[in-house]
Amino acid sequence: MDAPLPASTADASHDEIIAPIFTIGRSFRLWAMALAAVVGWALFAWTWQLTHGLGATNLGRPVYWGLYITNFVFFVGVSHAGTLISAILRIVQAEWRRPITRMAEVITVLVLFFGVGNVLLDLGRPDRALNVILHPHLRSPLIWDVSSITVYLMCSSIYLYLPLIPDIALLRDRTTGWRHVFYGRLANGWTGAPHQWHRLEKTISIMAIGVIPVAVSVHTVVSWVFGMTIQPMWHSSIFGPYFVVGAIFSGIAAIITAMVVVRKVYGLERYLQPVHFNNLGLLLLVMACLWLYFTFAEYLTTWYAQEPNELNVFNAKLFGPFAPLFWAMLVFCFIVPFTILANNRTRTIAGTLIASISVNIGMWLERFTIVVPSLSNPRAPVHTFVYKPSWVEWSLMAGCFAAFALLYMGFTKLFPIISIWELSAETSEAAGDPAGAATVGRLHLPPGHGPARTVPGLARTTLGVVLILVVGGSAVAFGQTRPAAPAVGRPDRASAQPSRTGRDITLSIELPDNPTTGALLFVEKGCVRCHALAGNATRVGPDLGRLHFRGTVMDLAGSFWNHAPVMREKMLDMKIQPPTLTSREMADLVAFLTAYRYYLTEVGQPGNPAAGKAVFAGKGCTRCHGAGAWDKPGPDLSRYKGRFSSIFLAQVMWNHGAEMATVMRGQGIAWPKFEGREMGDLLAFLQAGSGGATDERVYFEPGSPRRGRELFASKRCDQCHAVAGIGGHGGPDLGRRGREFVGSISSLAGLMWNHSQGMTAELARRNIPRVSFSGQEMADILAYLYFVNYATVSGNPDRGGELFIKKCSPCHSIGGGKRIGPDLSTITDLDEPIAIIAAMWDHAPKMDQELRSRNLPWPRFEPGEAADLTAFVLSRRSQAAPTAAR
Amino acid sequence: MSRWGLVIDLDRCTACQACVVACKHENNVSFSTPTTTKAGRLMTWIQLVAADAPGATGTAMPLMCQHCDRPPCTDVCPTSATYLNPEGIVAQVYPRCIGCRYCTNACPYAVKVFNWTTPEWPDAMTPMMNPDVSVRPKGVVEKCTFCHHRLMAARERARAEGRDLAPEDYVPACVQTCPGEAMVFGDLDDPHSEVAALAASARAFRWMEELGTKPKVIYLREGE
Repeated sequence: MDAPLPASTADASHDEIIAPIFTIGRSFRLWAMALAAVVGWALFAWTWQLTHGLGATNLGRPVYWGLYITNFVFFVGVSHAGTLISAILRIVQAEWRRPITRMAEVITVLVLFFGVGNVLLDLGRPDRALNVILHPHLRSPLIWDVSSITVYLMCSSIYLYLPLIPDIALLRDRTTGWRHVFYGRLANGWTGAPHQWHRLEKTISIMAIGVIPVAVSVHTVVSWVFGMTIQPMWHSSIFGPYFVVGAIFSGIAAIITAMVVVRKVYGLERYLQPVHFNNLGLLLLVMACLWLYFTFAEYLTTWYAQEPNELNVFNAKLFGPFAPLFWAMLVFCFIVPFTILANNRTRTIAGTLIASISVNIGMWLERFTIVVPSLSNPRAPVHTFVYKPSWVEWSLMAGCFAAFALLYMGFTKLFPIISIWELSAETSEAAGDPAGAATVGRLHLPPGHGPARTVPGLARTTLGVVLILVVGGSAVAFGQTRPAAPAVGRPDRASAQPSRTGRDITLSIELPDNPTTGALLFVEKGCVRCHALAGNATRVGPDLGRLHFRGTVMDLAGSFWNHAPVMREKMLDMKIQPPTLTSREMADLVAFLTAYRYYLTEVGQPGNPAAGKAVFAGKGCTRCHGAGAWDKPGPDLSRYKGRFSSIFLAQVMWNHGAEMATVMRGQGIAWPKFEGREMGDLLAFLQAGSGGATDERVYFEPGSPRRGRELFASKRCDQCHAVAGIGGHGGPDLGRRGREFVGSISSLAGLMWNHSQGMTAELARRNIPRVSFSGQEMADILAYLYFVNYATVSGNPDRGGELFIKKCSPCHSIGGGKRIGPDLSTITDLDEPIAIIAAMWDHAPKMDQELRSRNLPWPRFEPGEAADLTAFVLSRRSQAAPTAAR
Repeated sequence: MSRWGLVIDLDRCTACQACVVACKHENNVSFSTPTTTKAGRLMTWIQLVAADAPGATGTAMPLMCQHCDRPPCTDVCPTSATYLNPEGIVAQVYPRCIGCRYCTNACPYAVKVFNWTTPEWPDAMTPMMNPDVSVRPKGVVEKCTFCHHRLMAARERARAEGRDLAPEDYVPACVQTCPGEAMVFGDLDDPHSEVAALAASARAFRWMEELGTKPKVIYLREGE
């Protein structure tokens, strides 16, 4: 029955939860058979009761209700385990709830059947049960019960089913045969599409809120069955809240009991951790105190008033025939759980289990001592007798518990008992997990090597695989719709679709998949002969690895253009053929330079380990993390020395943020914020001091912005963050013009870290699962964020028009016929921003000659101008094109 | 419309229990043994409350359904199987009753009884069954009906004879039997009726009337 050891990847960790569904162990069979035997016996007892009537019980006048109604109240009480508690935890954003909600919700649904079932057992004429619906008498609290419990049962079932859907779909995709069909039906067409997620989340949050009043109403109404009568010690106005408190109390106890069993049996220790038992234990402790308060209030008022009829019941409970049950109830409901749970040392898993079982027994006794003593001591003291349940009643009660356990076991064999999708992969554990480190690539970057050797080296080691994805236009934003761009059929090519929504035109730019191509071009086209890439060698041209373009892709292209004449001179001097570039090559090259810049900033600006040490101490990290300090809550960080990239460290910090926040809140430490270079310094400090070679650095494969964009959607960053005005609301727009992400990776990580607390709260408020990242995902998302700004280009066609008139119109027209240069509306392949830049580049030598012959200056682009001009050209061409076609 | 009520003069009651026997025979109330009685399953619509019972009046007191004008039992019935009929009789519809026993628990007088098993009679008693009263199945609640079947019969007879229902036409079995003439039955809304006059007596009280149940069984305290 034990599940296999947790597999190494995040995906495989689901197997641990899924495993019990596909395996049926020996002990499972034995238990199932034993429980089925009990259920079988109970079925026999039930048949007996149906044949002999309720005479088979030991009920009589005036004790008309006994074990069945006690069980009814008890089961309905336990049903508050799931839906109510899981809904409340969802709404108050308790992150630790994730592994336990499913378990709790199943209890609710199953136990409600037995609550209802016990009422049916109690009916003298179960064959007429439908009269309740056919001839309802709305003034009867029993009808309120029927309505409320029906609604609750339906809501709970839906509330159980909805979060099951993604997991069912997962099972559907992993199974064959009848199971595949079964899950396929239940999955109801779930594909995990964003709109489905959106709807699912919305519905779940609506249900979570809606189910709370229903749950409260259920037990209130159950209490009113007693409270609405005028019988002594039933007719109490606090019964509603008293029962609800008792219900939540016994519900939590039931969850803990189920959790311990499931954890033990299916080996889910990794998911159900001491923290869960600790937290639920604390909740149970609070409820125990509340319960005592209500009990005390109830009994004190009864005793103080000394109303004879009430006092009869009171005395029967405290000192009479029910005294053993009453005092046992007090011990089980309060003394045992309070003693265990109030103490940190005993609030362990075993401790909470003992407390929970005790509470369950105690709460059952409470229900019994509410139902029976009042009936045994009626106002009219004509009859009384001592009620002791018959074998039929005991058998049916045992049958209910056995059947519940059996159904619960059955559920675990059909569905994951832990919600898989709600558990975002706990990759914070991957820090100590070799598998986590396995995704870390290694790069040897010896200092002093020229870029000529470095660049192909990078290409060979596929380290330069960077997917650059530029998201600009609204339509391409998240792959929902794609504009009918002229580049249809060439998705790898840059494309542009001018939108005429405002004065500024957004340029959609999609960059090539593989910047390695760009790296090769950098060599092939001879760039490398003049430019270093963050190398030490002195070259004619500037070191592109040390240049920091603070702008968009179009600004980079503009810089290209600006240096064209100077470059041509130098190239002529060095007898290098000026390179020509197709638009694709241009795109590749620009992408490569961007990608290169992206991970070289780390090399270019190493953090200061000494300053990092000060940061480490100053931000209070030392209070939890220390070398060799076993008694501190956080892990020893020395294992990160020298071996991990900043991205990896950033990922680990991000993932353990939530856990850390809880601990820190507990200790009253403020959430650290990292400004400027502090994060870089801190990471440098953590990496420093390894005994290994100083030139050895560990890199992630550079993240793929395209995958990052997908992650941005799938991790639902886009629900809060917009990119250039497209996407969610609430969080800052990550593509806003002028927002500068182009810093080092570590400063970007620092930004993410700083906002993680506010974000966690917001996520929980919106009921979005907490976001955590695997190492590669972190790299991807950082890459995406890094490129967002760079790629979000918009240009102003009006300004572009002025530029055109000033700088281009002496030679070119658009739709106005050939001047010195060609009419730009007649040239094909000018429908994309990159294509325009490439065309400009290619005609640069010719144009340079023309300009020199006419003694005209080389037109230069200031930042932003290249985009404006491109926007102008594109919009004019799209207007002129139909005319030209005619 | 009449509002039927019963006055019991405790000064005249001899605690002979003739009313209890008469009721049992009249209404086909099933047979109970000492064993079933001890188990809390005595089937009876009327019984004598011992004088020393706590809360009792100090006198032996015949107790049957009090036919409250505000009955706690009818409110709680989920299927309207028990209800207050227009003539003030708290009725029980046996085929409607689902046997939940909520009404028996809500009744402060504990005068409704439940058929725990199928009703049984010794063979010798079966020929004495009253054909006018239905035999209840197991699993339903039953109670005093003020011998409602007698009202039905009396009304039919009066109609057949072409006259109004006279006060002496309709009398429950217990009242008819009472040797000490301690019980008087009639229309409480008829100002000329004997019950109305007795109900206004200074000796009159209603049991647990402080609960607001407004019983229509009125006891007359023993005279000083």
